[in-house]
Amino acid sequence: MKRHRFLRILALTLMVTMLIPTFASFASAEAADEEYVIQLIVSSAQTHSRSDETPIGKIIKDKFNIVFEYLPVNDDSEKQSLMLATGDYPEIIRLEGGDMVQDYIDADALVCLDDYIANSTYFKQRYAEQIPYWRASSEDGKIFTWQRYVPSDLTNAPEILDIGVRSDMLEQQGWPNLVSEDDWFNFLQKAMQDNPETNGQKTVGMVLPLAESWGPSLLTEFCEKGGETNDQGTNDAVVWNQVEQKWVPTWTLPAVIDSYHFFNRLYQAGILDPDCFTDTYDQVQEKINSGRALSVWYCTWMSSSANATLVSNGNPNMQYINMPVRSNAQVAAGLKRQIRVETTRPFDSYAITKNAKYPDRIFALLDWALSDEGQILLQSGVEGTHYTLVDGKRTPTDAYINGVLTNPNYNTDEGFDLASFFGACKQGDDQGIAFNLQAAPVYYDEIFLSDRQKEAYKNLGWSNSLEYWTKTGELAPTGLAATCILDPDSDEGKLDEKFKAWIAVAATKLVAAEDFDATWAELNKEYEAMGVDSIVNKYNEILATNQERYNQYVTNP
Amino acid sequence: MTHGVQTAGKRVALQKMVRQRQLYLMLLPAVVSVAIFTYAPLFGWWMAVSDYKLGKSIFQAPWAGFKYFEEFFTDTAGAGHVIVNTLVMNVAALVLGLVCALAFAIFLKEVRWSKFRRFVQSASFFPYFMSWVIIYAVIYALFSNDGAVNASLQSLGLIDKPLNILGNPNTSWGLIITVDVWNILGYNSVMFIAAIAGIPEEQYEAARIDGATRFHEMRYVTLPNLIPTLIVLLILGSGSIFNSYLDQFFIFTNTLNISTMEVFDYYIYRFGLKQGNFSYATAVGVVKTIVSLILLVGVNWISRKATEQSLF
Repeated sequence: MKRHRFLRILALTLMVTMLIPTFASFASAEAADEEYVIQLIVSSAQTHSRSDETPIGKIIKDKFNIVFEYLPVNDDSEKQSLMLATGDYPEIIRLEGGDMVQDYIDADALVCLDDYIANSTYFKQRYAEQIPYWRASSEDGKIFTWQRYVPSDLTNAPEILDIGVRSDMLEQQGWPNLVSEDDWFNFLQKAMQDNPETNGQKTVGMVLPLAESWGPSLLTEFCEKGGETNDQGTNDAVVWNQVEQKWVPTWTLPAVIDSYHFFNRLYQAGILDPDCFTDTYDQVQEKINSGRALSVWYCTWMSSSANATLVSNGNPNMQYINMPVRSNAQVAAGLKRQIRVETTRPFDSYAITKNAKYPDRIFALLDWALSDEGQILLQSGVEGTHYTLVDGKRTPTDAYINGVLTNPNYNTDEGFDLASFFGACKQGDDQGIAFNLQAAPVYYDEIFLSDRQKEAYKNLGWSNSLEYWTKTGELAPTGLAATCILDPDSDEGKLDEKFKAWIAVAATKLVAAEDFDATWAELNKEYEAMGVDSIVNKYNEILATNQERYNQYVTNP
Repeated sequence: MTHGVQTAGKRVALQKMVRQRQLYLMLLPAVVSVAIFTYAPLFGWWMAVSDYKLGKSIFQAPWAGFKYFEEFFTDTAGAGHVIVNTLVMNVAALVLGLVCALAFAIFLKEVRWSKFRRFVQSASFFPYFMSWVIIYAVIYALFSNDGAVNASLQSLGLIDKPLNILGNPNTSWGLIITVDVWNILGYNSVMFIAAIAGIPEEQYEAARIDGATRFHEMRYVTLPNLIPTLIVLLILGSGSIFNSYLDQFFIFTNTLNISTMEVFDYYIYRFGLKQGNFSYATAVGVVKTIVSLILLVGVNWISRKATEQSLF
């Protein structure tokens, strides 16, 4: 009797053991099949609420049955720490800065990618250059994140962010080739005198969004316009010396002081928009869209949608073009500009969080997205609609060129780069054509430039819109620079936070100062009292450590 | 014997509670919500004395002692201007807000045309319900460099260059105090209008028999009757003297005026939420709460001594 009972229990156990994997496989089959809707936090306005409302998004849905729902927020960087504190973070998250990434890793909120990478097809190929850098930046060599706009190579037009200027003003003054700060000061002063109003509104000389958290960092930008240093796009206490491959203090750098002085001159002369300290990105965009801003500092990417608006509003001659700027000292020295090519971009990191319902499906999609096929679809669009193959080379269609030039929402309407976590690699296909046709030098001018802009560059005597920079600059890969991250809990990390808060205020004080030299001297006393040298030293220590780690990982990835 | 009296007293109190159970039930939602939303979050104060890490349980955080309190008080660049800004703007807004509302209510009572009086009362209450974003949009339209005020002053030839009112540290206190008084005027005046409605008509009749003019009635009947309300509102307001509308300061603060505009709540937001320094921000919040409590008790005590009127 006992024996029978034992056999019955054994048989039952065997049946259950056999059935569990069957049910599990049903469940996983269901997981693989069901429509997977992922909510994405986006910082820019979208023209649609779901990705499958766009032509490119539909293809992603057909292929992977994954759809993105967009949750627009004003400044997602501010929400990241709050989301971590509450545990309410999305399935895929964008993290701004290495310190925030570290906070998420410490809280065990991110999925480690090492196993996925080992089994990936395209991820490890696409990021072959980046992987040793990413490992070098973490203490245990594990990878939890990947980054947008890397890798980057020469098939892409370099990112040049100097000054966008209204072309009709250049025409009015006989198409001057502006370069030095004096050139710009005199040009803008005369343009404002000659044009006090634009379409019934008061003209402003130069705009920039200083009310944004990253706004004050734009005031130091002369540091990247010529010489040895290269901007990292932050309010940090240090700046990267590309030539000597080391960190140096930001505040005392001559080019940074010149930069503040330039803005001070513009402000005192009424050329710099007096509302720039309270202006956000959207307010600046509005001023460019209406054409009342004669120029825009650094944020030249804003001018593409502004130009489309100017054309549609019947003001095509006002369209903005990009032109160079350098300090007087940089012009006199004639040093080459270090054009930043970002090897890694920790301030634009992406991760799969532990809240992801199906991390395997997300990574499978990401892995495919990093293939040439994926990058072409996501950045060049659909063959026949957005591009055609001519002699095997992708060539933009007229509809695509027309859409980019006339519709400010064209890219989002069509679903280009519909999810920023796809990487948007700045590389090209086997024909050497950049995945993003708008960034391919062979098409850059054709796609990006309107007839008016082409006319402007021709009148300036340029053979193409990038001529000045390609002649006066050299490509400068950032290498290990971006892997150097201060521990936010360390003394240096806390001091750096204090410095960031201080320099944002100090920079605006300098710009608005009636006596620039006296104000700088006064602020310099505060700076010296902070003891920022310890931050500089710490950064260089981290650099040395990361160099050792990198050497180890590059030989054994 | 004493024990027996106490037991009997407790029984009577219990019987009274059972008898008045409907009243206690009505009170229950308020008690529960205060407990959940006001007292339960006080457990978070643990963060102020521990090294809290984002994403981890606060009770796993290692003990840090009072280093964050020390950091706040020794960091004069942090503490000094924040305390001064908060006190100046909030005290001025509280006092001026109450005085203006008192005067407004007294004068409004004298308006005989009831429709007009009701319209003015409703209109004055309206700003209290407006979001700070909309209020800022109005202020921006008026006071920005291209705003109506600058345009008018320039067209009249009174100024050459526009006044940078929104980005000037010298004007930020005045701007915030003015906006606060305007915003709260209707709300505060309702309290005084309600108190005026409770003044016995006989007092006015007696005053008129004695030959009082309308001004005398305001001065010697209405005003003295409103003093208790004024004191209650002053004591209640002093308890939240370190509280500011975060959304208001979030919008009005910029890098030019931050030295005179930054208040406790904005400072906590900047260090706590933006920089993820939750322990430090909580320590600042604890300091704020304790100082507010001391102020509340102090003002109540002064009021009791000076006017024999107090809240508790």
